[in-house]
This record gives sequence, C-alpha cells and structure tokens, in this order.
Amino acid sequence: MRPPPDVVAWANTLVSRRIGDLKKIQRKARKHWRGGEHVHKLRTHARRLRAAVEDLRACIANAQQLIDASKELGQKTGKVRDADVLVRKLRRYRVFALPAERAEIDTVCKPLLKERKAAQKPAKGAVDDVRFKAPK
Amino acid sequence: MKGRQIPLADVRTPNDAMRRIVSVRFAEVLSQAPALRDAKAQPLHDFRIACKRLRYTLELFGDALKECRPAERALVGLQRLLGDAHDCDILLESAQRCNARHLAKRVQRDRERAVRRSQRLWLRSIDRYGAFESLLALTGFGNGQP
Repeated sequence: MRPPPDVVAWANTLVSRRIGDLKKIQRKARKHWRGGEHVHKLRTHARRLRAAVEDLRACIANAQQLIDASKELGQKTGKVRDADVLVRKLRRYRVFALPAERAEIDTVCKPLLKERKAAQKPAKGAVDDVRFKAPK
Repeated sequence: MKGRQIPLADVRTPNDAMRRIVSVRFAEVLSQAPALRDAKAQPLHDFRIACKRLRYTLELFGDALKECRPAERALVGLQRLLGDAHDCDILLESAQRCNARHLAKRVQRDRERAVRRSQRLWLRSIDRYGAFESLLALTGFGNGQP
C-alpha cells in the first residue's frame, strides 16, 4: 500500500530538491573539473540524496534507480577522496615530524598518491556519465 | 551498516511521516552508541554512519524541525570526530604495512584523542538539557514513549 497522495507529493518535492542540488554541482564539475574539491562536494550531495531516498523510499517511484546512481558515483569517486584525506593528514603530521618519521610518512604517502592518480579517470568518468532522474 | 526501511503506508500527513523517519534514524543512533565504550574500529564506523544518516534526515526536514538544530550541530561534531578516528584506523593499517613505527604511534595517539572527544560530546548531548533534548522529546524516547 502506498502512502496518501499529499505525503507522496511532499516526499517527491524533497527528493527533487536534493536532485537539483546534486545536478548543479555535477554540471559545474563537468565544466571545470578540479579533481578533489569537486569530488568532495559531489560525494556529499550524492550521500544526501541517497539518505533522502532511503528515508522516503516508500513514496519514491524510482527509488532504486536513484540509490544505485548515488552508490555508483560514491564508489567511483571514493578512492580519490580517501587518498586526498589521508595524504592531507600525513602532510600535516610531516610538518612536526623528526627525520625518521618523515621518511616513514613519505613511504606511506607514495602508494596513496599513485592510487589517487589511477583513480582520477574513473572518477571523472562517473561525474560525466551518472544520471539522476527526478521522481514523478 | 544498512539503514532500516521505514514503512510509511499508514501515515496520514507529512508531519507523521517526518516524525516516524526521525524516530527510526534516532533509534539506529542510540542502538549503535555503545560502540563508543569499547571504541573498536568497525562498531565505531557503524555508529558514525548512523549519526550521518540522522544528520542528513534532520537537514532534509530543515525548517520544519527548527527545534532540532542543536542536535544537528552535535551530530556534525560527532561525525567530524568519528571521521578523524576512522581516518586514523585506515592510516594505522597503512603504517603497520610499511613498518612505520613512529608514525603508527602518532596516529594511535590521535585516534585516542578523537575517541575521547567524541565520548565527551556524546555524553554532553544525550544528557538532560543537552543538544539531543528536543530530539528525545520529539521521538518520545526520553520519557519511555517511543
């Protein structure tokens, strides 16, 4: 059984608003790709959309499609973001570290930077390709 | 940890729906909160995800739940501190893999600090007159009427 029409309409408005916010960031990211900064914004907006759809799932006709699209975007951009966060933390540590620890930090940083570089292309691909359709 | 599905077939108004959704998400947070005691990586991560979910729910309903703003702010703080602890967990793994003992020690210290701060913030928020007071009143969890 579906919830009453006014509850469904209210839920659709809330989810459509989230989709609108996400699409705005997605358009910006497609136009001027700046890697990390856009990835972070996109990921948080995709998570917000997913949370909204999961909350209101009973009212949203294309809930699964929206959840899958947000998941795909999150997964494909995840490595870039994770590497950014960890490298930033390591760089902060490095400022106050003694030489022995600095060498360790550099060793830990290297594979992370490599991973990040490799993950850039799939992340950009997801930003270009993933589509979000507003609920009807 | 997956969020619970919320049945809305029997609600009559958006207000009923909102109250039900917030109650379910808040119940998820409360059920995961004991993770703060042992501070093990996976349960702490699940608690963080539950906090994030509740925060997004409160944000979604925005102005209709103005009285829950302090709870929203406390959740942002918890999420940041628990996120720090989570990053430390990942870094610790990398440091141990690379046999980076000095770094591991520093990361461990940082993790402990983030966990202590999140424990304090949680206790302050859940306490009487704390940031979650309006949330407890809205959901009825504070007076034993869920």
